Amino acid sequence: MMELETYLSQFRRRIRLQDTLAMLQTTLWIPAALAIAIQIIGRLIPVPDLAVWTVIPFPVWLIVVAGLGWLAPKSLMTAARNVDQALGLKERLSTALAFTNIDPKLTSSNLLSGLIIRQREDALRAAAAVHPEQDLPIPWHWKPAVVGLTLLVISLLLTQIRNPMTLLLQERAAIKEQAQAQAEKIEAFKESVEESAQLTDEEKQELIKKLEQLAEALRNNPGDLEQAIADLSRFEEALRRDMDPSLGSTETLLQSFANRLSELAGSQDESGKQDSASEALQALSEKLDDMSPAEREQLARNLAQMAASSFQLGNNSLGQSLSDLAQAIQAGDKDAAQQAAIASQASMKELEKQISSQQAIQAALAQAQASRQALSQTAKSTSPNSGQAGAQNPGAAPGSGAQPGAGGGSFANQLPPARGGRTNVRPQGNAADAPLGSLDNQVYSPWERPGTSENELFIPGQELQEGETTSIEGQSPQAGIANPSLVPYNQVFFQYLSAANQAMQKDFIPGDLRDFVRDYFASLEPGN
Amino acid sequence: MTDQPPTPEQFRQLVNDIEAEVGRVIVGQQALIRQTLITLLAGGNALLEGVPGLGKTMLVRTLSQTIDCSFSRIQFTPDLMPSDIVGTNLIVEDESGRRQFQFEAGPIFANLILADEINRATPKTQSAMLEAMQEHSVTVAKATRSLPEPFFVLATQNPLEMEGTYPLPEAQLDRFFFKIDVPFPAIAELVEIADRTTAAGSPSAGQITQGQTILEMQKLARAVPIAPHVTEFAAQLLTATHPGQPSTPQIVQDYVRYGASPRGLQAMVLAGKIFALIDGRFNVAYDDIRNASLPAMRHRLILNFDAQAEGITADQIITHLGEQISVKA
Repeated sequence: MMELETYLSQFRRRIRLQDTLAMLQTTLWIPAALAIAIQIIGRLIPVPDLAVWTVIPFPVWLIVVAGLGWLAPKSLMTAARNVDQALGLKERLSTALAFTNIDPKLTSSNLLSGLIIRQREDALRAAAAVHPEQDLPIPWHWKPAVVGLTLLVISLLLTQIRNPMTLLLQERAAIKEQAQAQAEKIEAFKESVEESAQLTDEEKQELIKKLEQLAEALRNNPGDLEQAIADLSRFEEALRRDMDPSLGSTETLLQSFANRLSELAGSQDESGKQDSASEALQALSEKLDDMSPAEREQLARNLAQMAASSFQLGNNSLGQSLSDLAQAIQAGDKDAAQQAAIASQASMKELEKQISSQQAIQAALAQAQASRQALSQTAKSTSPNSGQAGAQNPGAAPGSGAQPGAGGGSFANQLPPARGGRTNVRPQGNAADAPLGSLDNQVYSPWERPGTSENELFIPGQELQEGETTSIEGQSPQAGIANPSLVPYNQVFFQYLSAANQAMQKDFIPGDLRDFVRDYFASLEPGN
Repeated sequence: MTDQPPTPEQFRQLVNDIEAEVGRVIVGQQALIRQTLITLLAGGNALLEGVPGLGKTMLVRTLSQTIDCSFSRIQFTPDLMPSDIVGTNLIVEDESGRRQFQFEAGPIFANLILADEINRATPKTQSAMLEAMQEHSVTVAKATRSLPEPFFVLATQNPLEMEGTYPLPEAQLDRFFFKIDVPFPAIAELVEIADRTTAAGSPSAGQITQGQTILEMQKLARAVPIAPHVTEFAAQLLTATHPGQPSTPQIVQDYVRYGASPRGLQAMVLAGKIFALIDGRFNVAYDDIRNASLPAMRHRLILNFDAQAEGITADQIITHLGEQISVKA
């Protein structure tokens, strides 16, 4: 009986081959259709490594089909029944195999044993007459095979047709790369902050933590420009909350004090540093005995003016000490003048420390803006619409300095798209460093005031006689002096233009007046 | 022939010889002859349905001649009594003048019985006949008497004249191994019939074998091996005739009231074995089961009113099932 099993083993191999090839022909459409579907999806949404994903169904399909064809259990009985059916052997092989384990000699009926033996012989003859390669040919399922091949060709053609999502993917890759680079820069900046002495330990730790979070966010950015911009904006927003907008004026005021005190003290030091001012204060207090009453009166008046300026900016401590110093000088009280000068010097140093801290935060802010600018430039350079208005860089224009509304072209007849604008962003242009002569080209730009419950609105005031108090809100502390609220006109023009555009789109302006408003803003365009 | 059982080759040869010999007398009707012979070799009884004059009596008579067996013909009528079939005890007087009962055997005591128009007899008479068919014995006056072997009943019924008949109940129909339809002959066959029966000499059949050989052939047929999956196929075919099951085909759900009984499965398998031997094989094939399914199950299916109204026959349903039920490898 081993002979029959040998035959059946051969048949089984052949049947496996038949099944596998038949399955390949009848299921080719599945991976091909999947490949087409992936290609279509890859044209609707950006899919990284689209070619790889397109190819993957085919090896998976081959593995599954080969596994099913060659590894799926197929008993000899199954093979025997398959051959019986395929060759019309009238169940000879399967019957012989079914009675393999029955010993004819042990059967109760001689007739049965005789017939079993005869049946086995008959089955063996039938099996010996079978030539697997000829009698069990490879099946050809033309229809499903043609369908599958057609789909395969279509999928190949799709891979050759230009995919519009490729540019988007390239842009994302570039943004991701740029985000990584900016993350490294921020890491480097973080190290410089760690070594900086401008900040207290607590401020340093807080800033470092924010920088680390920003670097981590940029490092993990998948190439999403908006996400990167949002991360940077959150970072900038957090920094701005820590900034005191009046400190710029205070810094200017202190420089002015230093200059004037140096002049009054007769110092040759023109650096205008607070150290010289404090020395001048000390020298002035020591010269009191040598001063005439008129000179003391003049000095006291100057110091009183300085004290008033300090009160206006909210530096009550400095103002009070300067006021005490002025009164001591006027009274000719040397000891009191000495003490008032020391107190004034301490107040100046405290302010200097605050300014130094703000400068460090400003530097971090500048780094973030540089990163934002770099990311925006990367997006513009890789975007297929890079020649259009730079509206893809929301909020980047204010304070970025040199390139407001990049790519905007002429707005004589049409306002730029509204999405490019961000309102209420504190101008970041270093207007305090601008020369006073350039104030003609600077305008007031509102920023998001820290008017929350945590940060009370700052209202400078000064006590007058009889308990009266005057307060000035939202005005420049000193007319004509550059401060952070003054930025170049061309930096804020597009911000206002955007706001106007939004207002027009939201029907804030009557329809018949829109052309008039549009013309008005066109006339305000820098250079007109 | 000797007492030795025939070999499969002898079996096949004998069947062919008998068919040929019967064919000398019966014109055409090869399927009828083949199925009748298979019923005989299976040890069963056949119900023939066909109009009168198609040679049913001639077939049984010729068959009895070829196998050298006794033959009786019983014409069933409404007034036929069971004793008319099985026999009765008569009071006879012996030489000494003493009277005693003596059993007078009825016509059923023969090897081959033609129960002509069995549906015309009363149910009581039908029951007596069918008991003899099933038990191969009759009981008269508390005495059971065996019938001669081989015992083969070929009952007929006329499908046209139903008035004044007693249709066989389903339980009684189930006792018939095969129900064989007797088709009307084709023109060529009719011409041949006319030629043979109107000539000077009528053809007659010679003896091919004898009753004992038929019994040996019956034993041989039962010994033919059948693979489990082939038996399972027959069981699936039978199960498919039962409505109300999830796997039942729609045609059965629509038109069948009751499916075939397990006797139908026995008939299919046994007939399949004989088909295989006649075909020169030593095992049963699916085709043997399919060939046997029609005569084995057509009288065991009880169709509903819809089937009768739409002209759906049991043959159509069984043929559909044979094609629909897949042979899983």
